Amino acid sequence: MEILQVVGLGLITTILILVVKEQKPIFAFLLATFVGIMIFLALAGKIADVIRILENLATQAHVNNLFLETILKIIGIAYIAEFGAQVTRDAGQGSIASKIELAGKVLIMVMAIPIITVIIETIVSILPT
Amino acid sequence: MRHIEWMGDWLKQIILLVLVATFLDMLLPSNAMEKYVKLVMGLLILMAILSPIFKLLSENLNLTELAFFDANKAVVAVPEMKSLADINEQTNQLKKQQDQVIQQKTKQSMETWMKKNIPDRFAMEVVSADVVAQFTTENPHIEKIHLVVREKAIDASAKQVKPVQEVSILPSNEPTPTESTSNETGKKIQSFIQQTWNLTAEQVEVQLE
Repeated sequence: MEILQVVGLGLITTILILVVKEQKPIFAFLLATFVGIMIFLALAGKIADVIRILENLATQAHVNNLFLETILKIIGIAYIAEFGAQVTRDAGQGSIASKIELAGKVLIMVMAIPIITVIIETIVSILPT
Repeated sequence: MRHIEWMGDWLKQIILLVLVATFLDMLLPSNAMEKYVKLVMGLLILMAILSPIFKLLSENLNLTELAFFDANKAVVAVPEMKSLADINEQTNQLKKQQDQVIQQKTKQSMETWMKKNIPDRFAMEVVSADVVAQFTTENPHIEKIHLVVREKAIDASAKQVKPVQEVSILPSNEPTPTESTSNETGKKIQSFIQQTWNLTAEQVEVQLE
């Protein structure tokens, strides 16, 4: 999906929502969510391309698989959490949105735990006891 | 060359990780997650930089192996050590052999000595001399000497044709004088050998022919 299509879809949806909102606010919200998901899924293919290129580069450079895996997981968590938080915020549920963001942050930190343990262990073993 | 290649790999890893990290910073959707993602990326880059140290610590490096490491992997062959029991056995065998050699040599020298000296002293000829001896390291001793002697044959040149004497045959009970003289010589030889090597009368046996 190209940028023009995305922007066109967005504009049409906005107009539709403005029209519908007066009559049925719930449909307006559903429409907005649906279009948001559509754009997100359309862009997922592009993101997959980018990630594939990164993976190729990493294997060529003999980057440790663990590093790349962690990075990709972090990207995924960040994107999904962000998307969910925005949708809920659109629906007017700011508190739920912040909870989703919190979950995203915690999960990212969990990803980092093995790395942190390895680094700390190494530092401790280097230091004279 | 190996080291340069290895270092290139390491640098490539770091450079790629830094590039990906900056790229991700741009990709990230909002500011809320940025702090956390940045922290984790920083940790990852730190780990990539420290990876040689991890390797050094995880592989228990054998210093002697490194010191004696050869490019051709030439292994110096160490001769296998024999066990102590083997060495002791060999020592015993060698000692036995040595004892035997000493025994033989002594016997030979004694026999030759007798063959040389007895004719000089007693006008007798040694037909055979046999020495039985035990030569152990603790207690070397001569067990028996067996000697066979006979009267010296008179040289052909020295032979003198004696005129035939009158032979008178008389009945007598006395032992023939020749026998007694040869017995006496035998005794003399016996005592001579006894004195020479400090032996008892039983150990020396002289036989006349």
